[in-house]
Amino acid sequence: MRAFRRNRQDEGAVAVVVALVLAFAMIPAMALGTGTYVRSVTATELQRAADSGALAGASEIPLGDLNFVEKYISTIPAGGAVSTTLQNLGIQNTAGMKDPLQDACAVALHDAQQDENLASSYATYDQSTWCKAEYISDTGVLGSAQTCLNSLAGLNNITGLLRLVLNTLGLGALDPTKLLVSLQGTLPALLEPGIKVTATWHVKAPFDSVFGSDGSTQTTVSYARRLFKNAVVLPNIPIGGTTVNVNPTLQLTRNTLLSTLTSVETVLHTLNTLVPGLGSCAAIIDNLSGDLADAVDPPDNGPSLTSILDDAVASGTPVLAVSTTVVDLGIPFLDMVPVCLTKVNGQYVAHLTSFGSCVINAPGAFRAALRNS
Amino acid sequence: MIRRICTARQRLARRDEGTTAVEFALVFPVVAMVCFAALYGALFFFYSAVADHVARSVARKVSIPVGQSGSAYPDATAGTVMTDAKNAAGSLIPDPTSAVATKAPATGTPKQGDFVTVTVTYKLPLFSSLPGLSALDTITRSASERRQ
Repeated sequence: MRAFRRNRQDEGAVAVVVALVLAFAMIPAMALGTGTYVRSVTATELQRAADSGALAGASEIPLGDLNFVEKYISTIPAGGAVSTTLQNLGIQNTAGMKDPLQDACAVALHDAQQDENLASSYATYDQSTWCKAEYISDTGVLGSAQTCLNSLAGLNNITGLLRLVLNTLGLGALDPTKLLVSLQGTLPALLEPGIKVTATWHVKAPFDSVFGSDGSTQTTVSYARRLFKNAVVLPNIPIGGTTVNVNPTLQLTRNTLLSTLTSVETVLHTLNTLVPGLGSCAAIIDNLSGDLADAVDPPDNGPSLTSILDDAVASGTPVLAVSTTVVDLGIPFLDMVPVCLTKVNGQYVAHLTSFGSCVINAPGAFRAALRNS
Repeated sequence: MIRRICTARQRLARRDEGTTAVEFALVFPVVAMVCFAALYGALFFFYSAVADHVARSVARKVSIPVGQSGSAYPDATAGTVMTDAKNAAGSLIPDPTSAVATKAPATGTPKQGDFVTVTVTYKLPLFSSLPGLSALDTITRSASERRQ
């Protein structure tokens, strides 16, 4: 009889163990795995949407003019981000122009709403507030120049810096204002503006409610900066000139350009040692060298120069012209000018001035690339 | 007679040979299903991440002009998109089952500002032919970019 009692006590023991393991190990593990999967995938989708928006917005930032450059640098503190309008940044005629910040969030939303996204099932967000786009400070040559200006006592504008440089070089007779005129084409091309997109949504995984969780909030940030699509190098650019024959440029080889740029870099390094107080501004030269290397070092499988020019003529979009000599000054001077092109009798003609909104708005002139900041 | 029956019942009740096998037979399907689900989930997760990466990479590539004469935005053909998708997936990962690029607006010459959407599909190789799982063997991920 004791044997009967003992066996009756053991009946169902395995079922209990299995139930306990399922309840306290297997099912929680599956729930945890499912939750991790959903959160991981939705986080990736959020990042992808933010990246897509930042890229679209950054490529739409107009080239602008000197006023835009000065306002952009002065409005957005170094390392900071500001949400504002193009008008507030000095773009006067915005008719027909897309607002880069609004477009950034619109594109991000378009990507976030893909049918295949898990976010369509598990993420909730207010479409009017989930995305925030801001302009980020310039990190190129001009941002460094502004930092340099701020570090030099008694200098608070670019004209002052130019006067100091010219005096130090024994070229004090040159009018900095005249030099600044040539910079009207140069500075907008050297500006490296960008857009920061911050996106947020709330994710609730399938088993969250079982464990009393209300889900979690995911936030991601993406940075993208504007880049010129193409650049061509001109032998020289006259100050105040209206056109220049681009065709001699076609004879230049890439090695020649890189050699020229190396020489310019040497000059700039010399300048850095000549001008007192500029020792802390070496980043200007370094950044400038980097920009130039990027401008003349196209990918190996990139388009030919003639197809760049043909596309620019056909689409009415500007290209970035790079020159190492400005004729009227008579000194080696680096200039990067966005130009609009026409083709007359098989000859390419670059219009340096009187190009109207072509260069100011620069439609189609830019692409964008993701950055860490 | 009654005593013999009682003795036999007592002897049977004390014997427990085979109980382990019976318990194993009961528990094994559950454990096997859990392991199978875990493996399937891991594969699904992996392929989902790969598909997302491939879709994103190809969308990015298609959105950037290559400067071909006459059109800054060549309309990517199906073959080109699939080749790009294979390259993006890398050599250690099976090729996507399909990779398709669509544009919005759907007609007209592609131009800056248009949307391009790349949809990549993977069929999980191990589970495609298993009954009941054919509906869960396909992973589709899309990414869209604006043509720049």
